[in-house]
Amino acid sequence: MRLPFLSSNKNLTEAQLLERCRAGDLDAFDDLMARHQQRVFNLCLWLLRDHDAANDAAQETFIRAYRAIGNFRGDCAFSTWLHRIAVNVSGDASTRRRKTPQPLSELATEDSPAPEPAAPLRENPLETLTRNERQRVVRDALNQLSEHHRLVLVLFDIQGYSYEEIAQVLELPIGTVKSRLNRARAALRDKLKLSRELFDA
Amino acid sequence: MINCRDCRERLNDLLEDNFASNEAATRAELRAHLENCADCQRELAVLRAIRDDLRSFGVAETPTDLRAQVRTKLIGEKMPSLKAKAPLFSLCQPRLALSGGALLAACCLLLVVRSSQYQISLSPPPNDASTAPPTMRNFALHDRAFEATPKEDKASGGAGTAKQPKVSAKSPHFAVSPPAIDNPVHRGKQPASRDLVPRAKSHRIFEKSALPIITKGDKSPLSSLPSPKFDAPAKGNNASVAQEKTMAADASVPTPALKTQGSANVEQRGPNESKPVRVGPPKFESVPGFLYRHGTPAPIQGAQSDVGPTLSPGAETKVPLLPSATMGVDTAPNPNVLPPNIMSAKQRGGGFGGSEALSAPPSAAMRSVGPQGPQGLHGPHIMMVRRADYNIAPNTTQTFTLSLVPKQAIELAQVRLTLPDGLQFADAAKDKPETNRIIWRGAAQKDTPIENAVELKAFSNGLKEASLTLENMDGQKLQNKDIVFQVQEPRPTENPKTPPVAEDK
Repeated sequence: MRLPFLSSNKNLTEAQLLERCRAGDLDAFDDLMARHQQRVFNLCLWLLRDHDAANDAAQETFIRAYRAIGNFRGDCAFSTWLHRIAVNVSGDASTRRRKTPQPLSELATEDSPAPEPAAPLRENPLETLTRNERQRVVRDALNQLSEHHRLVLVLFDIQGYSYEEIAQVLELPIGTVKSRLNRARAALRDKLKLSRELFDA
Repeated sequence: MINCRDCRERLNDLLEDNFASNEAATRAELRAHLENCADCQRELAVLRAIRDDLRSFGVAETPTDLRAQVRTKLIGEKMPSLKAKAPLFSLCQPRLALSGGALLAACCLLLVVRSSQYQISLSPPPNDASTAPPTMRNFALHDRAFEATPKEDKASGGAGTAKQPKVSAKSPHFAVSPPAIDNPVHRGKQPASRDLVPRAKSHRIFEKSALPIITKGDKSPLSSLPSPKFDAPAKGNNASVAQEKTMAADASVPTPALKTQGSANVEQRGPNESKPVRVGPPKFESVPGFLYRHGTPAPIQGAQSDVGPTLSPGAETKVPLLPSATMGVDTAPNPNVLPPNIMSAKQRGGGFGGSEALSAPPSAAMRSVGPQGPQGLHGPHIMMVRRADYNIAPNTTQTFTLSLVPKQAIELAQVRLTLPDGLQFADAAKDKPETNRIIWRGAAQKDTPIENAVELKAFSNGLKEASLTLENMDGQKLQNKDIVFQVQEPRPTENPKTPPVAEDK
């Protein structure tokens, strides 16, 4: 017996949920988390390249967001605001990690489970293979980029934000975002010079 | 003329078609160059392939416990809205704020001591009227007087009101404004709707010398009373005003002030039967965001109060509870967030609300601030109680829609509802009560709630914690969700439980 869905928060708009959060409703905040956790976690994962670190950063993002939710006045989208926090938290975590010496063994192993490629549509096996290889190469190259470049590429290409949204997240002028994206793409292309044949096909 | 170098610099803009409105000419030139330059075309193709690869990256699966972890960390947090507002002592320096808090605590302490003072003094007092607690006697009298003619009272005591000494033990918690009565020793007075609980034994404190002998038909039963403090016997309302003026000047001396009020209620009690009235604790007003519990606080196990207020069964009080946060739909209670002073289920007398059926570890939302209240006083037992998910009146049948959100997909699963004592399936045989029942079977999909309507019947009052369990077909528990039912009479609009005033013989 399955009855129509009656749970209280699911049909609420984001603004209504935010209102409830401000009144201290943790359930409402949980719903907001459910809506945004994937993007926030993926952003942290791309920026930190470590699953556990990304998990910590995503948690910290939500905790900071909950504590500061009274300050969120709706000047931008909630997701933008949340991503801004995530970028800051990830930046802090990255700085902290750089300052802490890492054991050589950890640096050597590639244990960060990078996002899996999307399931390819019906392609022939060779294409799938090439595509997977290309994605691996691109991912590695992306991970070698500077944080600024990686951040803007992740936000624009992987997370699909517009220039305006990225400008809000990073609190930069749109022109800066555009030029930074240009430079990031160029840097990525340079990193991929050695495996050009994969892209020429 | 655009060369390859210029073109390479704008390749990204070409890819995204990212040109300002005044760059139409540049764009056309770049496109023209691109059509004729195979190298630039190849570069653009590479860039596009890279971009497409970036865009085809899938999303990583979010850790399943991310939300639960965040919730666990946030559960002890203050509400953001409360935090956003400036707290009472926030403007002070930390040390000052601390002392401010201590002052507040001291006030609460004083309140508790005071309230307990008049409540325990209800036992038979010494015969000497002057040594009897003055507040008690005045209480009784004023209670009746107030009930009968509050308007008259108000009119008579204009001057007294203004000079009324601040002896009220009203706590800042008590949102109820004091009744419009101008008695300086009227501590912790309730509004007129307050229950009057007759106390059979304590009538002896009212000695004839000090108390009115009320006879039927006496319109001003207290008028003939001599005031213990004043030479002139109080006569009518004017005397009362005069008396209060004096008292206002000498507020430090607890004077047994006797009000001279006509009282219909008093008349009903008949001659020579000045039944004292036990006044219950102050009534609390509901404040949004706070929970209240009706009825007397649960007795503290192993620490029976010998000084604290004991409430008679008829008295109703609302105990303010701390704002609680439920653990959410798919979050198992985390025992790690329990404060160290939590009583075990065994100590509490077998589960929440004394329910025997509850053997689960105490959930985070059910923590006690301290078994004996703040500051270790035997005060009102402040507990953090999980909000009831559902309400049901005793001895009624009601249909509830219970929902469980599976955290994982299971091909074939079942949902079992386990009920505590006092709750039963409505269609269960009377001689064969069921403690649990499988209420759903099917394919559970991740994050898709399973909703079930269950008809339940309640028998005894109190909070009942039932549990909804997702199991596989072998009965192996996969997920658990606790549901709290509050079994209580529907909140009355008026106070039907007012104990009847003792009838005349």
